[in-house]
Amino acid sequence: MFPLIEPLLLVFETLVYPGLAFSLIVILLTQWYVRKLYARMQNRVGPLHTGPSGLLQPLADFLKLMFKEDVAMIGGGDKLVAVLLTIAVGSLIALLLMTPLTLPLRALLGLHLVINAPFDIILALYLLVWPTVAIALAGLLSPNPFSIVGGSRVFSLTIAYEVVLALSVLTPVALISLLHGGSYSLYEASMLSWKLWLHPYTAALTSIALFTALLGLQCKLLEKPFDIPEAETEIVAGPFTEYSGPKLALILLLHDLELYVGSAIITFLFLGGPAPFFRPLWAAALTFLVKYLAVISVLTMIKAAVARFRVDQALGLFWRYVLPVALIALVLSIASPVVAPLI
Amino acid sequence: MSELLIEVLKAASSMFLSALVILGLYLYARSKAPKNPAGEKLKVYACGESYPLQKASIADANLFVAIWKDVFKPYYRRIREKGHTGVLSDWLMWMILFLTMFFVLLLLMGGIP
Repeated sequence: MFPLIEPLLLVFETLVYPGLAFSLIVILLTQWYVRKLYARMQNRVGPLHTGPSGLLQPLADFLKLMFKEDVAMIGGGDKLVAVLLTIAVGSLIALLLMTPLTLPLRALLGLHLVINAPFDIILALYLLVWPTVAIALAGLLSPNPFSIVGGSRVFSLTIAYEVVLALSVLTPVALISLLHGGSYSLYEASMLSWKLWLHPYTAALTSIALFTALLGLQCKLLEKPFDIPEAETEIVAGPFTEYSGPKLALILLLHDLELYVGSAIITFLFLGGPAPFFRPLWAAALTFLVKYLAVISVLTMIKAAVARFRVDQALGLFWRYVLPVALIALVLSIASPVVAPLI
Repeated sequence: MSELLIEVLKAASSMFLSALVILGLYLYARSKAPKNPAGEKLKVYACGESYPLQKASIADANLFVAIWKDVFKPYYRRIREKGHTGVLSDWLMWMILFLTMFFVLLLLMGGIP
């Protein structure tokens, strides 16, 4: 039931591919792309000098922060904050192992069993919440009014975007489960989501859910127009005000990993992952990369093009407009009398 | 069900293994960095002035629900003004109303077997 190869493979997947080592490379390249695109939209050139075209700038910034002095304020959480942040990083790595990113390695080894189980979408949603909790608690564990207000704003926004993100992610999963006899599994939904674009009804619902998911992810990443918890003009840097050195490096690592994992899940669940080129492997990887970069580009362009909302405006936007739209899309997706004839 | 349990265990193992590696990296970097920051660096400063630790916190009422209460006020204000009168007979009326609704729902669902 549980052969020896499975634990060894789990360790390899966690530490190398698609886990820590691979994710670190991807997030550094993603960060370079985000910085370049963001700079271009502001009529700047972006990273230029470290490595070819500034490719190594995010790595240089990360290493610089990691080896700086770690200041632990009197009355603040010191190692506890680091533990919280590392657990949040771990939760996102665990989430990556539930996606089809593990497939190439397992296919290479001749193993066709991947990590998936019925109703594991609940586990995926749970793992997605960890980074938010870690960031909010990091703010609340810091003895500074700005940090505490920032942490409280993170918690306040949670009830806006986490609900929307959960409803949006459930929409394609529910559609796939109804149409193809699936079992609310993240892996199965990721593998079959391209079929949702073949019928106008499911394509319309997927498009709506994609739109709300992108808004939810933008808010989860605390990017403009939802960077309310770290509004510089009001509360300095919000939950991150008192953090510098390696703790700030961990916070930035967590943010970049969240961007990577969130965008990868959106690419798999809403855009069909590597579809329509599943073979050969390089074609699948290239197609996935193009779609992934498209998601990153949309998020970056929103960030560059708009100004910050007030906290009440953001909550109002989500609860008055985005949440009802996401809910209607989900209800129409699970209305089996309507969906069943499409099979 | 056992499949899901095994997946939860695998996810938890992966989560804590990667957390341990990152924590190790953090502790290594910390050991190599300049040590023992002291003096002003450890004190709380706000608006350019030293801030007493006791004052560097916020009332819990303002922390979590203040923003929600303000944003959702238009939605619950009417019910609160009309329904939340503080009169005992009004309170009793709500209790009987909700109890009746509960029993009707129970009967509609087939009652208690």
